[in-house]
Amino acid sequence: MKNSRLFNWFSYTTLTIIVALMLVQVALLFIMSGKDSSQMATNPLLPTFPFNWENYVTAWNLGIRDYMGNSVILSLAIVVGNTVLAVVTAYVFARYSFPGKVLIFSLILALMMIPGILTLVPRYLLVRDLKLLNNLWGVILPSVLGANAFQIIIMRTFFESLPEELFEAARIDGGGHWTLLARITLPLSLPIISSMAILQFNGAWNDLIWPLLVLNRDELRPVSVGLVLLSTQQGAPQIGVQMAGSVIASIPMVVIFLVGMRAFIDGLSTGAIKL
Amino acid sequence: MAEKIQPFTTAQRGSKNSLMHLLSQIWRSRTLYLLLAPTVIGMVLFQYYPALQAFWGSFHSWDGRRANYIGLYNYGYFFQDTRLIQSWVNIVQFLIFNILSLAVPLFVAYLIYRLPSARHRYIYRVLVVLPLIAPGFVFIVLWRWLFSLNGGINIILRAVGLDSITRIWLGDTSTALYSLMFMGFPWVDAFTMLIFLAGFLAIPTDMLDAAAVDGASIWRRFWSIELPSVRGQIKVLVILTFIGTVQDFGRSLFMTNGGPGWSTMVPALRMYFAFTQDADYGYASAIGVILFVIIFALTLINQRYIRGSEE
Repeated sequence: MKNSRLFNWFSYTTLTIIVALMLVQVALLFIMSGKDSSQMATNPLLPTFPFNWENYVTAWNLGIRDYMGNSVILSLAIVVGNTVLAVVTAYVFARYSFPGKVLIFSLILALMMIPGILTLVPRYLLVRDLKLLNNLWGVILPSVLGANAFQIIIMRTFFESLPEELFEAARIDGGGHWTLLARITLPLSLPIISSMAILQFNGAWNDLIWPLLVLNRDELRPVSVGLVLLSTQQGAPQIGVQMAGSVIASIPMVVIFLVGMRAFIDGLSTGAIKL
Repeated sequence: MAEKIQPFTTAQRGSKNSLMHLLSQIWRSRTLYLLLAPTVIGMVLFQYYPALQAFWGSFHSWDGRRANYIGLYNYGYFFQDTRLIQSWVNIVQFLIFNILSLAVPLFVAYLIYRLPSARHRYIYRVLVVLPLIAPGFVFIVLWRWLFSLNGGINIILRAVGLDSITRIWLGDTSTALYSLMFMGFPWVDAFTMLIFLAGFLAIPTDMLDAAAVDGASIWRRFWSIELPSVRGQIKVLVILTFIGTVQDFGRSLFMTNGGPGWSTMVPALRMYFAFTQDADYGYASAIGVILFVIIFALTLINQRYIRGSEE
């Protein structure tokens, strides 16, 4: 398939402009994170020197340190819990028959029709009655046990596509559920599982509303809530410090991208075809 | 643990011992039920129970502890509140804008798909995904500054001599809502783009070769082959965007707190305020139920439409 040269020229130019408009916003975060108030007043948009790394120290000591710790705990717990549950659930549905299978899976499928906005108020009251307000478990438990239907469905489809002969052979060798899951299913499904986990981490790291409701005490807040409240409160720190906090909050996603971007993009693309 | 699970066959159901057979199958599957237990219990506790309670609460005057049955009062209150008309006007504008703006990631995906080299396709794909390294809430902080009096947008406007239109963008009733829409500029969501791109890349090449032999133009090929090939993706993303937009109030809450006045109020944010500020849990539940019904109805219509078009 050949394009005309004009079309190619148009494509490259348009794509480059759009990508630049997106990346310039990320760059701006970093540029502004190094400005003191006078640099902010005279030249807010372009890089200025010296670059004030003190902003990072200030932001860190203003609470970002605690917020980051909370975010890491919350996000990791949610990702690990969700992934374990989703893998086990999807595995059982993909490889076994048992009475009630269709009914239970329909209940999981139907979860997709329950929007978060409908359950928000009663879910809050439930967490209150479980005495989990102002407790990190109040964020972790509903997220992990709320059953991520999308994840289960994608993984079940994937697990079903694994060849039955492998499982048959392992059963003949005397392997039980655990062997079949840990020695055959998991190694073959690592790409899809890791891309789902990254997606989940991104969601947990970004979550604002639920932790804002459940965690009222400042020292328990994740960085999403902490940073946004810090920037909107009376007497907010100067923009450079806010941006330094924003850059710090981006570090985990940067690390994940450096380590697993390929898996992420590929996994998302294969998942996307199933749509 | 090494027992083999027999396939559950319907042929055996007709036999006299069918009940015994079923019970023995249930007993043999006990490990499986145990494995599913956390998911099932959690799903009932944190999803189905709250969902039913929301319906129940919407018919009550409810402060979270005591509840009195008041019939349809909460719903009546909602539909009589004329101030809320503004929030419906706003959400409709958000819906139209968010759905139309799916055209941008679609366009970007198309251009990437048409790039002549696989290596360049990969590079641009990475570049589009790259901004995800900055989490979404960081852009709340950034854009609040960009829209402020001495913020980025006014600086750029002054630099090009448009001083007259500078303003506090989020503080002006005539611009606050459109500012919130502008916020995602250039509106290329990486996930959406990847889904469209995967759809384009799945087009069989022989179809395109046939079109090339017939001498079809780029324009013709786009409208006759490539765009129809991603129709499924478009439908799914339109419905997901619809569901997401109806529920989303974070942008209005954190950027403008629904203001100035009610200029950026949306129904979901009214629910949040009824919940957090008024502690009127019955009214909040009623709004939640109304939004659920809207989402549910649209999803049903959409599913019927999809099924109808594929048969």
